Amino acid sequence: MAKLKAAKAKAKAPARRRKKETANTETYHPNLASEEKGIRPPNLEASPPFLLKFHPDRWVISKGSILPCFGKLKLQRGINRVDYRGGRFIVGEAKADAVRRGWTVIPIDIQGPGTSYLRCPEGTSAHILQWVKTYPGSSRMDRDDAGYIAFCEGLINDGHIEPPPLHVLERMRSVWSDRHIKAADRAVVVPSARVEANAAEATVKLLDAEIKKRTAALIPTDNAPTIPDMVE
Amino acid sequence: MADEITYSGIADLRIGEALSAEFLLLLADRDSSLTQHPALVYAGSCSGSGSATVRLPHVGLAGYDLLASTSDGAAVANSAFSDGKTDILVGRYAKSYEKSDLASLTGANGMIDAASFAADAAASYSATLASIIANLCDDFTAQVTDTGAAMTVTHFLSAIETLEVAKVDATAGYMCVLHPVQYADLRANIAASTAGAVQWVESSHGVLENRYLGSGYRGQFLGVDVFVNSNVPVANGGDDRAGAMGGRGFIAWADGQVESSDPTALSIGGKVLFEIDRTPKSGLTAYVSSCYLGGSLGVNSAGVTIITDAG
Repeated sequence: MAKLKAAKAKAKAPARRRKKETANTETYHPNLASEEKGIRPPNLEASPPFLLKFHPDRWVISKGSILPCFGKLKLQRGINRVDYRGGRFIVGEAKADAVRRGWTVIPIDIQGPGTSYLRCPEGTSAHILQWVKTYPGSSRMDRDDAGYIAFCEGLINDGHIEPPPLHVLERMRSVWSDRHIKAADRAVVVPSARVEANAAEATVKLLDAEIKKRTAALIPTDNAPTIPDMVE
Repeated sequence: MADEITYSGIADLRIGEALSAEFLLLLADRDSSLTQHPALVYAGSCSGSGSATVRLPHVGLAGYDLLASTSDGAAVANSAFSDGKTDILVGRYAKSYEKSDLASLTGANGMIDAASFAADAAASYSATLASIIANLCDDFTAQVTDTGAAMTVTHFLSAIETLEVAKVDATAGYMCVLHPVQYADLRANIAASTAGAVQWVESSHGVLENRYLGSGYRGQFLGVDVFVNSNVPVANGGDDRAGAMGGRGFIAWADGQVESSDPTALSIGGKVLFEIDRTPKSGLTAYVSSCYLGGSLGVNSAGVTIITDAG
């Protein structure tokens, strides 16, 4: 009987310990003098705000689309004639210079009144396009491809910028065709080069389709013939 | 045992941290030697000129227009005189460090004093000019672009070819300003290249062996002086960086010198005005550095933008 009582008492003991342990498992918050709050800003170099500018000779192929390769009219006093007075950037002369060199400056609110294609990530002095993705504490930048491509195509479709000229497309085709041939040759002995060859081939096809489309819409010039004044 | 003298037991006799006699500089683009390259044209100072804008004329002389074949006894027609211009607006660049007397008098290692701030002003002037030049790199109409692709020797050679075809004068040498990522990609390509004469060119070895370890000048590669600067702008929505290569006159810059009648002001190299502004009521002293700078594209065809992956 005594043995049985002892066994029962032993069996009850863990229950008492559990009760005691439960009382000790409340969460503890150290009271720190300083605490990091919120998300760290991205680690970006300071860069001035800018207006995008477009030149008909500058195009790139990116993610299966033919996109304008924009330049930037930087809004910083002293760069390319930009001035800053009374809290405002003065860009008239800078824009005139850019236009003289064949650029078209894209207005900041091209997407509608009150909009901007720029952003300045909080905690930085960097000015970047809306479609640039940044990460806390990192200098890495990626692009929201779908958004950026839609923006570029919108500019073309809405007539703000001209589509790529035929001579530019043909020049690009020549470069990509050459790249395709070289990669395809390499792929004969280096199988991994097949990926590059296939990508280059797809780009050539993309350019071919665009050239075909543009050629069909081409209106030939009709100049008078030039006949030098000569005698036999 | 008891009453041992431990570090934690003598808190009244010890301090939390003792300042080292050494200090470390935070990282920055400190080698601004690119501003000295002869491919850049100094258009002069706007001081006393009557305008904040310096105009650098472009003229079609010294063989720009050929002589026209003309018959004997025939009057030659006038040739159109070709000209152009680069206008450089000079603006103020400045910064101020202001310290309190208490911050100053408790200093032990000379970091917060007039001499340090004056030396900083001189270095900051060069770095600012270098950043202006780097920011102009993506402005050229001519481009070698391979978006999302790492920079290679092929891109470098294409840029040289573009300049040569455009008849860019190489007697002053070509210079190339790249973002560190572009340079690293170029170096990796040179290292990994297993065929071709470029691999054995002396300057390739210079690149691979990191002979120039400064943060700016990286030596000469294929006859082009290569500089690195992290202010080289991003392009194509953050996918790429846009460096540039150019010959004489591809970028021009100008400045202005400001004078001060204050005997405590210091003109550093005739370029930066370093002034001390004391506010006795607050016990504050400000060290103000000012300079006047501007930069613009020179001859558009004398440069080519190189757009490759941002890494």
